[in-house]
Amino acid sequence: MSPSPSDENRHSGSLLPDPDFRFLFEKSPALYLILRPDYTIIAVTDAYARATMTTRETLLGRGLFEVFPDNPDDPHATGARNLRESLERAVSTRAPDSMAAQKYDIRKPESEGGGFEIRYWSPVNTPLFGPDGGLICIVHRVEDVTEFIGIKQRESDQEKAAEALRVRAGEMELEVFQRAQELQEANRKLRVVNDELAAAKKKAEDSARDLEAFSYSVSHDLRAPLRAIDGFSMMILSQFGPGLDPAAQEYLARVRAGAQKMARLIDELLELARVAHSQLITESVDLSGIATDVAGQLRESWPMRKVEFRIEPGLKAHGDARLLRLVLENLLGNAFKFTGNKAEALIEFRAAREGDRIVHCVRDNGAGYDSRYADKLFGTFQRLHSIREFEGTGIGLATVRRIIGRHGGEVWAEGELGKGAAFFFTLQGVRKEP
Amino acid sequence: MSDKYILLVEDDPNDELLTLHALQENRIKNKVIVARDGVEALDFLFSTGPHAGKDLPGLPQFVLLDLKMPRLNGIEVLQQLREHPKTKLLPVIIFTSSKEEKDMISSYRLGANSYVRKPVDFVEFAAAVKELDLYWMILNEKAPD
Repeated sequence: MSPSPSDENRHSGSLLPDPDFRFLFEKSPALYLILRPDYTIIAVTDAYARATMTTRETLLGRGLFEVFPDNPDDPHATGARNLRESLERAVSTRAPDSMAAQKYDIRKPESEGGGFEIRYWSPVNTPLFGPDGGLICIVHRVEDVTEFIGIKQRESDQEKAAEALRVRAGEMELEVFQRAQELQEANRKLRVVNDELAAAKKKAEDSARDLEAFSYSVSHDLRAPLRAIDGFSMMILSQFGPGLDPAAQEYLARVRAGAQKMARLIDELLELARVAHSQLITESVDLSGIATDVAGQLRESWPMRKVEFRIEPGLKAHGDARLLRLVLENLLGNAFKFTGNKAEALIEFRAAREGDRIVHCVRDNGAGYDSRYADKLFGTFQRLHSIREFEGTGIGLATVRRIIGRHGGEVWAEGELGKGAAFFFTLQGVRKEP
Repeated sequence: MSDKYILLVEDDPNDELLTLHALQENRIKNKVIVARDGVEALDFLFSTGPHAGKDLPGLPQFVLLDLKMPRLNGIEVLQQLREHPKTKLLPVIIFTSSKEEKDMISSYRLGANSYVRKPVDFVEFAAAVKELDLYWMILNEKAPD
């Protein structure tokens, strides 16, 4: 009977007689370093040398931290310190010490360009003790987890990117929300403005109606008492005149004149109000024709006066005929009035192109006005001459300004005391037709 | 009664007196009946209200009608006169302070025969009244009643 082979023989003896353990160790696919207690490298696997881009020859007999210093380009490198702490911990606890994945960059050989390459490692340090309990050596086993960390890193990057996207989406959602809010606010403001506009329109309509009612009331109710004042003064004069003192007759005449003056004021104020609020009916207006017509009326009103009217023919304008007639009635009427003291009065109406507009002008050689007060000319109830000199209510030029304003034009005056006056006006869309 | 007369519809006593005075200055002495507002005028013309049962002395030669009056104003009076067969052709002269375009248009649209604004100057006022009187009383031939 042959003796059955022992287990030992079967495993090591029969398959690999006289095994070379150093050789086997060095060929192990794992990454091992064997260190003396002072961290001098005494054995290394080929795999370790490959992974760390070193050779056994450059490692053996040298200190661990001498061959694997921290990457000086990485100020945050903690690999060497962590490794030292782990080694010390393993020795002091007499137990294997697993380190967290470490970033420990390795120095590339000069043949591969030198410098450091980023690597992540997962090391385990295991102390080995002799039969007497003394520390013999430390087994430093590592796994290169660079690729794993890389994947993690990429995952993390992707996660970060996804997170960034989520954040961005969130922000955009917020922006969309804010835009919607802004839009809503804008819409609300628009509605408010619309409401305000509608209210303003209604107010304007109301005030136009009020004004109409007011005008009506004024034109009717204010004139009635004036008729009574004038009428009964007249009746006193006509029925009791012969028995009255001349002074009493004079006073009654003044009462009547006052009443009539007030009636004119009322009419002109109403006219001014109408001018400001009535609807413009625009058409082609024959300004020269109107001026000639007005001149004729003025001549008739005072046939004894010697007045020459020079009216340029063919002047036309686009505007409201009734209102433009009022303008010419006022301006020509003023010219007629203020030339009252002239033996040879001359009143002109003409137009001239100035740049892209046509300027109309009514000029006279009459009393003129003190140009220091020119800015008062167009004010309501403003007069630059005393009533004794010239009749008037002071509303005419205010009416002219309103009308010209409503036609989108301008009106201004030039004059000098005693040397006549000139009133200029422009109208939008006015053109001189051949 | 076959006497020609004028119906003056006027709420203002001053205007009434002034108008009567102006009419008196005319040589033709006409009878004037005064209604002091629109309601009175219609009651008189249609024999209603206080005039119920009374015989109308024929239609007036013409009506001098103020516009602004309490109760029924001139425009409303004119409208009713034109709607009624009896007064459809009655000459109605609007005699008012108003120069409002709106009033003139509605007056003429409703068939007023004339529209005269009361002047403030009594000389002009009297002249206007006299001319109206002359024209509508003497010159104008009114439609048969």
